[in-house]
Amino acid sequence: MQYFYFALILFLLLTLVAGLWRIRRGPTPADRMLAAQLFGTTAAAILLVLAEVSDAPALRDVALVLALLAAITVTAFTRRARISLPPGDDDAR
Amino acid sequence: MTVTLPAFVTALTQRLLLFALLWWLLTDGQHEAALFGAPFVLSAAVLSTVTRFRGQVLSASLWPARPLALMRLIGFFLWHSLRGGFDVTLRAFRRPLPLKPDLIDYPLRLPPGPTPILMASLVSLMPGTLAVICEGRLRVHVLDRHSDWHRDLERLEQRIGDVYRIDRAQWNDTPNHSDHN
Amino acid sequence: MLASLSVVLLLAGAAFFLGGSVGMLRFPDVYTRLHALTKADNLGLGLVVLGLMLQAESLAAVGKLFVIWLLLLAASATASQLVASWAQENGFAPWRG
Repeated sequence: MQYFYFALILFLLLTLVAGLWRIRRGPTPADRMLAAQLFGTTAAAILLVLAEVSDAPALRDVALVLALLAAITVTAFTRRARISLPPGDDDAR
Repeated sequence: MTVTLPAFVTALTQRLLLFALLWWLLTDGQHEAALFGAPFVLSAAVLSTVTRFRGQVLSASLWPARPLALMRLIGFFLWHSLRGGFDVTLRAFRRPLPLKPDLIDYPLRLPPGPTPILMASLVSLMPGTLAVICEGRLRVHVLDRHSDWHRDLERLEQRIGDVYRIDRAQWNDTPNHSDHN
Repeated sequence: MLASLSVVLLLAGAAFFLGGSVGMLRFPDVYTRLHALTKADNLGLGLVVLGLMLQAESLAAVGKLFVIWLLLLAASATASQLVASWAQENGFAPWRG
């Protein structure tokens, strides 16, 4: 059972890394902002599984905080980043 | 709306129960934590109730008018978000990508206020639709413009209208009418 | 019995997380990627949470998992709408197949 949980965590980490490649590629700042959302959900799932397997319920609180921070990050980004970029500009930012 | 004592007590009790439950969940049900939580649960509930009966926040309440219709909305939403997840996952693995995306303006029939915002949030988790903006009308990004996304949105809108007792007869003409719960 | 049901739910959840990431890599523009991320990842999280609820040590833990899921659901529905409207306001036209 223990091994199953660790394999699951590893798998989720890999999907997270795959998502990170998109952050590197962009091309728009909005694409990069998807990272916050990806982290919010995937990392929260990883932490929740970790809380179960390592018997550390406090990690659930970390997941909770991560969820809140992800929401705030996206909100802040959409409020602050008002600069209009030409569409399709690959190297913007 | 006049503030009656029973209405006030009901609202206060609802909040007390909700906040106590949240505190209990956040502290993993530890008994020692209840000692610290009790004063805050009490003051938060009182403040929240007083605010609700003061000023104009009242009309913007998202409190469901019909619990039964709310259950139906939740069921509808869960089923369709399951479908939505399946749909987008299958599309992600197909080759070539089965996408015919488009931006569409959906004419909202819900009155302005909190319900269109609720609708926009739910739309993004329905199959093939993603809310873009929501100001009187709802702009939706659809993954497949040939799918029956319109029917799904109409049904969702009806379910939400049912929860808040929004009269369907009034849907198409006067947009400005507040709820009466 | 409960444990095997939990394993099935966790595996199904992982499959949707994979679907979300594949969509994120393969889909052609921000809007379509948002579809993949919002829907697939939230369903994945929902299934993982459900699987973990079956194994949770106390009723409070079950409730907490549920609250975390609700919060993330609301956060991600709002976030996807904000990013999509940001992209629209800044003139990123959607890809049309």
